[in-house]
Amino acid sequence: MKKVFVILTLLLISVMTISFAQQITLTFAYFTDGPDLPVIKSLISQYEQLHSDVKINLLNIPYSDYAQKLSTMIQGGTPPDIARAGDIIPYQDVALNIAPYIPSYTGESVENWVQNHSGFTSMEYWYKERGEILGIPWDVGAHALFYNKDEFAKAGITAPSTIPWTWNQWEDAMNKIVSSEAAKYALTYEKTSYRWSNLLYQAGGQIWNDKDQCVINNAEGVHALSFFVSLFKNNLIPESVWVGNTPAFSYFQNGLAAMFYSGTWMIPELMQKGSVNFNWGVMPLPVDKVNAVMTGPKVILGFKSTKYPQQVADFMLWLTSKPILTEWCQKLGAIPANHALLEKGVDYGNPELNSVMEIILKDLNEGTKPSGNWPANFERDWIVGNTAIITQTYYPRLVQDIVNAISGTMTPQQALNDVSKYFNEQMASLKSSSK
Amino acid sequence: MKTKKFIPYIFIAPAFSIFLIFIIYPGILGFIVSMYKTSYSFGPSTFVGFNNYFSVFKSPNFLEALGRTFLFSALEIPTIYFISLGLALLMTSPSVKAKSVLRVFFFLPSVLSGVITALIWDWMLNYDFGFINNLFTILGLKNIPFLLNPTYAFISLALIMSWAASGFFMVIFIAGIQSIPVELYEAAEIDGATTFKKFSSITLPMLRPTSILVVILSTIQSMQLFDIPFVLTGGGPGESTTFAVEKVYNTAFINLNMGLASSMSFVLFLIFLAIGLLQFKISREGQFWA
Repeated sequence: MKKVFVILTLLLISVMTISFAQQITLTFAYFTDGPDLPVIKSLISQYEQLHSDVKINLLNIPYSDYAQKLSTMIQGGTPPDIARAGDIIPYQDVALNIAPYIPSYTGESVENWVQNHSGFTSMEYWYKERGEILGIPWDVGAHALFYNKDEFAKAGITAPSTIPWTWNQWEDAMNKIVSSEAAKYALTYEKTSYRWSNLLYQAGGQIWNDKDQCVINNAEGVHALSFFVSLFKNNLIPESVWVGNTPAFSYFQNGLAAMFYSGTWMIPELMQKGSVNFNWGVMPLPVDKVNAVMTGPKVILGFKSTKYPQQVADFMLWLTSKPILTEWCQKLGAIPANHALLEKGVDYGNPELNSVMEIILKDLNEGTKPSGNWPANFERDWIVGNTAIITQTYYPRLVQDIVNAISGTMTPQQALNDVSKYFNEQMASLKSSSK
Repeated sequence: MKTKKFIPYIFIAPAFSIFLIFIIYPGILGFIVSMYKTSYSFGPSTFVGFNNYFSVFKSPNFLEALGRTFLFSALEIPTIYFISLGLALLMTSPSVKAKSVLRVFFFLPSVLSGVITALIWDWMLNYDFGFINNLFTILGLKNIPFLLNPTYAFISLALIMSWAASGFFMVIFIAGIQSIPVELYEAAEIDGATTFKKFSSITLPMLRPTSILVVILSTIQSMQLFDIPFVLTGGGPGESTTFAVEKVYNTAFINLNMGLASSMSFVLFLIFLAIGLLQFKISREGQFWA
């Protein structure tokens, strides 16, 4: 009996040793975008059940520290195997090209897969430029304008659901909210240059022209910034968000601001019970000369340095495959970065969320239609080429100068002249160093 | 006999190893990185010699941040000095009751992490959500933009830093005051010296070594200032509270220019080293460290 027990124990230990030895661990650097942590954890455990030889070690890093932590890991020679990222550009030289693994996993040629999976410029650009797939668009974030239905009712305002307000109508509504004392502020607007740029594109402006010259200080740019600054001057937006460091959402959440200019990534947060104690809705983004809605996918990418490129590519392709992406979007109210799913539409299984998403998707559809130089200007400014590199690297200067204009230390023209001068200097430096 | 020679080295080995691994080795690596122009996308770096150092001195933003750091130190160091000395005098005065409780109360801020300190003061000073401004609203007074006006933000930060650091320096001063021989005060009292005379002729001169230590430590602390302004004001409004170390951080982790950031770090290191050596030299000349 004793012998049998010893043999069985040894057998068990050897089986466990062999199975552990065969299991590989992939590190996945991740930032939460709303309350999505439980969802990604459940997807990972689903994947681990399907692939018992793979263990995914989820490294959840707060978004505020994400770029710094990830860049330190890369610089230190210990990048993760996989990462969630806002863009491919910063990681273009260290990202894993998963193109060779696509045909075996999907049964499609790379060309077909690119065409079918996503029309998002970033992935197509890198495939066209280098013949590489450096990251897969996962879900799409689009700018969105949320509003407090209770405060709108108090101010006697009806928010549009199909035809967007013009900037003038929007400003009138803001004045009405504040004068009726429905809320202390009419609008809270997130402090990022990306968010502000939506006004720039609606005004018909652009950061760069097609000759790689920064022209943000042209008449359209100045008009966009002047309009934005006037909202602060008229006390319609709290200065604390832009001039100080207070999160924009706290004003909306506490009922101090009736509207919140943010993006679709806030929907899961707003849908969470107890997050806000009022009825909220979403409206199409107000328009000026152009109906422009900025959008961009979050991507999942692998790193060249991984010991397991095949497994990394498999996980990336599984996570962005149609059924998994559908599950992700349904649970989080996210928009899939996939052509077919976008066209088909996702049933979110919740009437409230379905109605919110209907407005957003319609606005997104209308706001991404070409008009003049839109959306080519947006792609040039933020997504492709040297122009996007400069914008994405030196955007803090734009934020700083917008703040200077809000606080009155510069006029909108002076602020944008300063941005233009600085961006052009950086472009000259980039071009001279790459010669 | 031979074995004995090695014993001191064995004792200092653990501390020296830590110093070597965590200070010297990263320092050397940082210096090497400062000689390279690093790629934005983590690609291959190009050797540029001392070019990054020339860029540091040509960068108006960095020089402004450095100037702001000196200005901040000039405001903060005397504030810390006088507050902590005042508290120490109070805490050693026979007429003050419940000294132990008060000492803990004044020392408490110095054990808080910078992030917690920043959050506490944000809750106090925020324009729309802050306790003080809400109190003003209730009293029918106008809100004060403590963190929205560049001058107010700068001064608020200096006061917050003083609040956070004074407790620690108070303890150092208390130790200094308690080490002054009582006989000196007794002799002065016999000679009819007033309280102020005793302070100016005995306490202050006898506290000179402690004062120098406090000035050196508070200088180092204020020059390295990062966490509290980073969390509380984000370096703003504009760049009014962006200090040298935050500039290095922004260059490294926002502009992703590690080479330039490393050279900025070295320039800062040399400046801080020069200030430290100067302070030590002054203190040695006064023979207070002998």
